[in-house]
This record gives sequence, C-alpha cells and structure tokens, in this order.
Amino acid sequence: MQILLVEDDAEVARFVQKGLQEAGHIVEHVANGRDGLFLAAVEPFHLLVLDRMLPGGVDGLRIVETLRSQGNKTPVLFLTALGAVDERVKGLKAGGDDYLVKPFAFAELLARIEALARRPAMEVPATKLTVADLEVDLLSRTVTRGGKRIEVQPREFRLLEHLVRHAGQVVTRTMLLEKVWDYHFDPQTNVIDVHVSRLRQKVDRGFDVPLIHTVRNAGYMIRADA
Amino acid sequence: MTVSSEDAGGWRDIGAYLKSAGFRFAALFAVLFLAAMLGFALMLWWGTAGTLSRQIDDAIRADALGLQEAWRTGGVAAVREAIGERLAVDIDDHAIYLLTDEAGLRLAGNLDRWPAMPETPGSWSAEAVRRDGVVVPARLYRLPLDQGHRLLVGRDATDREKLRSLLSEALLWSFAVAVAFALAGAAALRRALADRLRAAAATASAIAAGDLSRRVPLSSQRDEFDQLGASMNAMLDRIDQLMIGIKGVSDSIAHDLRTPIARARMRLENALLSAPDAESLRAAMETTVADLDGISRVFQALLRIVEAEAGARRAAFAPFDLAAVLTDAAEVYGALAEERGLHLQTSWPDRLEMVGDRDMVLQAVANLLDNAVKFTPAGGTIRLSAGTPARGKRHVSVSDEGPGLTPEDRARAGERFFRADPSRALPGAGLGLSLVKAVAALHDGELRLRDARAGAERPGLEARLLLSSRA
Amino acid sequence: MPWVAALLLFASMPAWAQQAAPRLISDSPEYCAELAARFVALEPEAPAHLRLLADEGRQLCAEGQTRGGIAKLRRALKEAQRGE
Repeated sequence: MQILLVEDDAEVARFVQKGLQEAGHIVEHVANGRDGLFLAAVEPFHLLVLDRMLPGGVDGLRIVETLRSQGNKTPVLFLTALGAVDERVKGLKAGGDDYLVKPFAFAELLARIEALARRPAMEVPATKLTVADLEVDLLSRTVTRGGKRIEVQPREFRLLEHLVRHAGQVVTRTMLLEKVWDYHFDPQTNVIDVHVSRLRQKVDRGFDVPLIHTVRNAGYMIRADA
Repeated sequence: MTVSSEDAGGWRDIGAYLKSAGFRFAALFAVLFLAAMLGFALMLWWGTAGTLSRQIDDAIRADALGLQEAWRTGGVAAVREAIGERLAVDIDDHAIYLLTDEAGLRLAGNLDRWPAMPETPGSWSAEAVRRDGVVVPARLYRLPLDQGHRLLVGRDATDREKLRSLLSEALLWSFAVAVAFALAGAAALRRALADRLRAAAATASAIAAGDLSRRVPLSSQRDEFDQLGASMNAMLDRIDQLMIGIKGVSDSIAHDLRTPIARARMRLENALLSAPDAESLRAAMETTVADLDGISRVFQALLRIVEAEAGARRAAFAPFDLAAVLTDAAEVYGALAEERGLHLQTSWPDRLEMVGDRDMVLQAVANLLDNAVKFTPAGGTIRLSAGTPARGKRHVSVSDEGPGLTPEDRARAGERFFRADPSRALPGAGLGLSLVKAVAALHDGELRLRDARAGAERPGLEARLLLSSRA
Repeated sequence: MPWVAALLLFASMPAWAQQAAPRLISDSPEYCAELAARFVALEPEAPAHLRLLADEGRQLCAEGQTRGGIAKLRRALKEAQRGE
C-alpha cells in the first residue's frame, strides 16, 4: 500500500515509517502541511497518516478539508496528541476516517491502517462471510462451522462478525470497544479479553484448527492458518 | 463614576463624567422632579388665576346675554334701563357697559367712548381703561346688535392682574427653590449610587490586579447591589475551585506520577547495566512499554476528570437511554464477573431517559463495576441497579461483597490517587472514584457511599450514583 | 398677557393718543346725583337704616368724596332691592 505520512516530529516519523515499511508498505514522508497537501493532491495514495499540529500554516484539519472539497476520498488517519473528545469529533467531522491519540502502540496503528485500507473492498454488501470452514450468515444471524450450528449470543455474533470482516488483520481491543459496543471509554481491566475468550471457546473448541488468534501486545485476529 | 479617573485630559474627564451612569440617573431624577414641579405649578395656576379669569368671563357673558334679551324686548330704552339697574347696585365698582349706535354715539353705559384700539378678531379683548386719571386693565366683550348698534360689556381686571402677578412671582421663586432641590437631590442620588457600587468596583479592581482572595463585601440590606455582589462572589468561588482543581492536577502529576516514571527508568537502566542476555533485555523493555502505557492512561484519566469537573462537557449533553447504557455495561462486565466466579444481579426499568454525557456515565458505571469485581471474592454477588428515586433524578447503584470502606476512608474516597489500605496491592491508580464523583457533579448529582450490609464483618460497599435527568 | 401689551402700547403713546383711551364716567358727581334720585324714586318704603345710608352717601358726594358716596348709595340700593 502507498502511504503518505505528514508528521513534523522526526522521531515519531522515523518510528512509523520504519514500522510500516517492515509491514510491507511504501511510505512517503513530509514534515510540513503545505508539502503534505500538495503531494496528497497530486499523487495517488491509498492512505494518509496526518498529524494535526503541523508547521507551515496548513494543519492536518485543513489538509483533509481541502482534499475532501476537491472530491478526494483517500482514507485519512489522524495521529495526534490532541486527544480530547471534541478534538476527535473535529477531526472526524473535517473528513477524517480514524483518529489515534499519541502515545500509541504501533500494533494499534498498523491494525487501524489496514482496517481502513480494507474497507472499500468490503463495501459490497455480502450476506455471508467465510473464513476456512467457518460461516457467518448475516441475514439469519447464525454461525456454522464445518456444517455444525454454533449458538452465540447477539453481542458475540457482532464480535465475530467484526473479526471476520477484518480477517487476516489485527483488531485491537480499543477498536473492538468502539465498533462492537460503540463506546469510547477506558476499562481498567481487560474486560474485552474475557468476551473474546468466551467466543473462542465456542468457535474453536472441538475443532482441529484454531481460527481466533491472540496477537501479542496488539489484539486479536481471525484467520485460517496458512 | 469610573474607578480610575485620574488620567490627564480635563475634557476627557468631563466627557466621562457626563456619560457615567450615575450622572445620567441623577439627571433623570432632576428632570422628573422639575417636571413634577412644573405640573404642580400649572395645576395651581389653573385652579386659582385661571378660575378667576373664567369666573369673570362667565359673569361678563351672562351679563351680555341678559342685555341682549333686553334689546330684543325693548330696544335702546330697555337696554339703558337694564344697564342703569346693574350699575346702580354694582358695589364692587367693576362693571363696564357701553351701548353705541351706528355712528358710535354713546347711548348708555359708563364708558365714554368705544375703545380706539384696533379690533382683535373674536369678541373678547383686553383694553386699558381710564378711571379717575388712573389707567386700569379691563376685560371687554363686544356684542354687535342689529341696526348697527354695538354693545360692550366688561369688568375691571385689576384684581385679577394683581393675583396673577402675585402668583407668578411666588411660582418663580418656588421654581428656583425646586431647581436647587433637584440639583441637591441629583447629587445625593449620584453619591448614593457611587457608594453602593464602590465596594463591587474596588473588589473587581483588586482582583484584576491579582489578589484573587478578595470578595465583595455585602451590606445587610440584601438589595439588588448585594445580589450583584453575591453573584460576583459565587463566580469568584467557582473560579477558585477550578484553580484548586487545576493545581491539584499539577500537584498530583508532579508528585504521584514521578513514582511509576522513576520505576520505568530504573528498570531500563538496570537492564542496560546488568541484563545477562538479549532475552531478559527484551523482557525488561516490554515491561517498561507496559509501564509507560499505564502512565499514559493515568494522564488520560486525570484529564477526563478535570474535564468533567470544569463542566465544559455540559455543552455536549444529549438525551440517551440510561437503561441501554447499563445493559451494555452489564454485558461487558458480566463476562468478566462470570470468569471470576461472581454473580452479577441486575435490576432496572425498561427505559430510563435522561440528558447528559453518555460516554462519561458509562465510564463512571464501568469504574464502579470494576471496583466491585476487584474486591468481591469468588462466589459473591454484585448488584447493579438503577431507577428514579425522585422526579428529575436517576440513580445507579453498585453493591459488592468486599471489605467495604470505613467512614474515614469513605470521606477520602474521592481524592485523586487515594487508595484505601486493602486495595493498595491491587492494580489501579486510585482515580476510579475520583472520576465517578466528577461525573456526578457534571450531571448535577452526587456519589453516596455506604455499607452494603451494615454490621457484617465484611460489610461490602454500596456506591450510589445520583444524577439529574435533565440538562 | 394681552393687557401688558395693551398697557405698554398705551404707555408708549403720546399724550394726545392717551387721551383716546375710553374713560369710565361712573365716578362723577353727576352720577352720584343720579343714584340718589334713583334711590328716592324707587325705594320710598325703604327701611330707616338704608335711608340713613343713602343720606350718608349724598353727604360724601357733596363733600367731594365721590367714590365713597357712590359706593354707599349703591349699597343702599342693593340692600333695598334685596329686601323686596
């Protein structure tokens, strides 16, 4: 994937660029807003990672607003220290697609980037999602694996659905909280882990191949082992 | 009435003085007072001199009509007779009559000739008339009769003029006195206004200069100025509170976060110096990353608390269903409770509408549930309930079966970073209840703590979060 | 006040013009005699005190105090009229 990173802090930029390149992406980096806006408008990127506070008179918000007004629909992820709720709302309203607050875990950044990039493909409405022998029927809200019906509660269904939609990608705990429960809050203990492990019991117990994997320091992923 | 009018520029001062509210109020008072005096004077004039004038005119008119009747019945002779009769009994000696023919020759009456003054339009006129060599004022009424004859009826107006001049002189003097009173009253009013406002103005100046401990002194009158002063004081108290809150955060950050930061640093330094192999070095670094995450979350939590306390989030309040939020919270924590062997009992009505910050309320409930799960031993029960204790209020209660809090600890529970003894070993920074308190305050409510089972050895804690259901 | 205007105008006129202001003639000895005659003619049955009053009036007129005499005569006439 071709990614444009607009970040004025050299350390953060180096860290992010290295990490993303190691994950197989091509990363272009500029350190001020004006250059960022120019590049984004002129060259085709799959994704933009923007800091909000940038030198040069053009900040992250302005870049996104300008691009959107030109009809540019490239997905944008804000990476910023401005963490208050109204700042997040401002960023999303301006046209951003996701918002990650510094300090962040790289795994979270990677997971969210890949989730964003995958999205367009999945806009095609599907009624059934499949991973190996696991089948999730969105119309009847049922789960079957190897032909056998698995009973799940509604919330567990949504959890599984989200994992499957992002099959092969890391889904972090925060992402799950936001997408499956629609909340922005910080649980003191890892309550999400408990839900995932319950789901894992139902989906993987009794089958040879485990589908739900824990990714250390990151989150979870569902995939058929290669 | 400016507080600091010591700057140079005489004209500027005068301009400011004239524009000042005190001067305008005083001027208004003076104008009203003088207008009232004027009204009084006019009424008095109308009642006295005016009445006299009207009486004279009425008498003249009645007289003239009577003479006109005489003319109709008996012509010149009758009129002469009538005039003669009237004059004969005119004790006051004020009456004036004259009847002339078409040539202007006197036929009857006590005036020797028709007044030579030009005829003013209308029948009435004021003329000068001689009597015994003295000129006196007279009020005259002309009445043309047929065949060219003319009748003049009038009265000596000396008395009336005397009364008028007496009255106008008196009124003029009164007016002068009134003006003096108006000016004095205006000055007094302005002084009174300035005095009442001086306290508030002086306090405001002192505060602007940096002394934030000052408050407006209140008199015992409880009038509008005192209300203003009381409002200012309330505002200043609130600012004080906010500043203490901010200072508290800085203090907490400075004091209590130094420990985990120092710990992380020590771990890294230690690993640098003495880690036996790459593996243990990795391990040390991973632990440090986790430590830093923890510190980061404490920052986040602190900021949320301050945000909630500052009340700024009130602007984003929206209606939501509290019951739905609790259902979600119970679902999220239900799994955790189950895993620990705890029962989660729930009880609330189908819908609980309220207006507020949904995320903050969930965070508060989550913190309470978190604590309950942390402290209740395996096999125990956690109760989560909610309802409407009174009109316009909602409550969310979480009871656990842990060691509970002593009354002294309960009082300190809302302090940032406070950990009661039993919980010191458990993870958590001690900010949970602090946030719950802040959320309660944001929603015009409070947090009440008490024993879940009073008298038992392990009484457990019942945390009751009260919220206002309206914005 | 129109009288003030009239007086000012009058006062500012030359002597011959001032002569043009009308004069009340009911303060003359002739009028006194007229009133006395009227009294006698019209009130023959007048009570004693009124006739005394009229006499006093005539006396005053004869002495030259015309106004006082006329006033008394008028009072006598008025009282007599009221008595009718």
